[in-house]
Amino acid sequence: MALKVVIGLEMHCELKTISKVFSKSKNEYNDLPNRVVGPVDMAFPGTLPLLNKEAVKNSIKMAMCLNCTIPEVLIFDRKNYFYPDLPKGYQITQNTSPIGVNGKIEVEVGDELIPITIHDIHLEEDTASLDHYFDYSLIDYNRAGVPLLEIVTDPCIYSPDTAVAFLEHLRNIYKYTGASDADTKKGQIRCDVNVSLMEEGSNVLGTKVEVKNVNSFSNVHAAILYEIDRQTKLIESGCQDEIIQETRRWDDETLSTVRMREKVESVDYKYYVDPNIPKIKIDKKWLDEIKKEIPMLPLERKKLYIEKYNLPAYDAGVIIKTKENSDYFEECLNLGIDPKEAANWITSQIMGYLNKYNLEINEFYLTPQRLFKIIEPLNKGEISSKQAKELFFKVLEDEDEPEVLIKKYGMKQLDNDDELNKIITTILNNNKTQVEGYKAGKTNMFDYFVGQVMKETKGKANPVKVKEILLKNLV
Amino acid sequence: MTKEFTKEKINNLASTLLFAVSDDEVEIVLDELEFLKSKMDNISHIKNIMDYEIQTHPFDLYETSLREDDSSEEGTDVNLLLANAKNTQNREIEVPKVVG
Repeated sequence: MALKVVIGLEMHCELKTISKVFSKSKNEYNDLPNRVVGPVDMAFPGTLPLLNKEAVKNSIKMAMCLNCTIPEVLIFDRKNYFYPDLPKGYQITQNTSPIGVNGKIEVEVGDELIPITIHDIHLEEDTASLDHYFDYSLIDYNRAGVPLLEIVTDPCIYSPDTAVAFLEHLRNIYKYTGASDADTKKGQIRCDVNVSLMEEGSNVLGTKVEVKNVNSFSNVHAAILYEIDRQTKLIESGCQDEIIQETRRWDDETLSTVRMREKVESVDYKYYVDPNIPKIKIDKKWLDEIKKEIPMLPLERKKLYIEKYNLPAYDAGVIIKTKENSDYFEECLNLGIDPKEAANWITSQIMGYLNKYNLEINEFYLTPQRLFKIIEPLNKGEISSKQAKELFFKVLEDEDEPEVLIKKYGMKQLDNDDELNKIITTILNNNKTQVEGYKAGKTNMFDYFVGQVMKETKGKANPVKVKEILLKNLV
Repeated sequence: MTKEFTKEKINNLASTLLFAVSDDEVEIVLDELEFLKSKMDNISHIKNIMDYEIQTHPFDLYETSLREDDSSEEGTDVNLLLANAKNTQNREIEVPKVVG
């Protein structure tokens, strides 16, 4: 029996704001427990939530990027459950009228564009964090009330690669729009993964297993693969009854999913509209303003780079990987650097350097302006390509301006005809056998002579001039 | 009069909501639910009750201005935050371990 995996994702991402979603406490990570907490975050009696405009704006941006329908009126609901990370006994979230519904985007997987449909996007408050010890737990409320956006897909993803490509694409959109730093290392992204298997060709979904709180994309991939394997083995051995609707978690140590609880009945959260938060009417004019703030997104930029600047798809893909890389490239173009030349420098020298030293491009000393000052003398023939590469590293080592370093290290290209003539004549006189060989038809000796001149001038000779003079002298 | 709620029903409901109740608590909850049920029965006698829209807010008004995110406040003194907690440890509230 051929089986097909069906995956649905819920991606939670903390939004970038100054204050929390319903209180004025700082929205920032703090190592010290209970440092950025106020009475609203701990649900002290008499406190009331006041909705943060920026959190709504960032959520709307995401809803727009995912082509969702945005309702005229936003409503917040209470999701009731009893757990120590929830000081009010309920979480403020959206159920009745979330910030976006029925979205659709395409993600690139290899050479294919795969459509993903979005069930809904809703804004909610993050919970407190718990540290578990042997027989007790400690509660830190720093995270309580941080604005959290949950993006829920339909069960429309059919491979772990597509699932991860979708999550990476979303992370990029968060970063491009500035709605979130979307940093998995800081725990800003958490995913719930729903996995089921169905018979190929059937339209009946199999029993869904939910893997909760997976905190990295590589673990999402691993958790899906593990579930495919586990469920396939159960089906193939005739034990499909053992696949039950349940909640599991990913265990980093055993690299497996572990049962958390069985969903005999689905947990009843008793959602109802929060009467403490008025219904919010979204102004059409505000929506237009938000739309204007959304920059060109990664896939649009990739298309532009390929079609307008004739970049190879691979190079365009590397450049759009982060907004900062893409902005760097565009700044190079604004300075007048040729697109292909800028792309070559970024994808080879710059990426190589950044990867080697584990740096981000926005902390890179060699700004587009400094790159321009390396490429300009290269194109004018004032320095050779070898010297340009040396200059690239000198700028980074000395942290000084390229024009200063060209003078300091005497990097001017040697293109004086008299000087070059003198050097070439000496080389040809010292290599008479090779000259005779060349004249007898061994034309590949020409490159040997060029190499000798470069060696003699330590790579400073202008290669165009060298070839011209050599040709004259070898007639 | 036959009671609508039973101990078994309460325990099942509690289990669905992911918490446990003691026998004493079940008795309290049983009385409370019977009381609520009698109120609900009264309401359901209202004619065409299902045709009414659920009232979620006291006034049918919409908010159009939201809190600007232009500043934030320092956290409250941790001693005040934890003053009512039964058990604390190193700036945090200590609770029995419940992993769910």
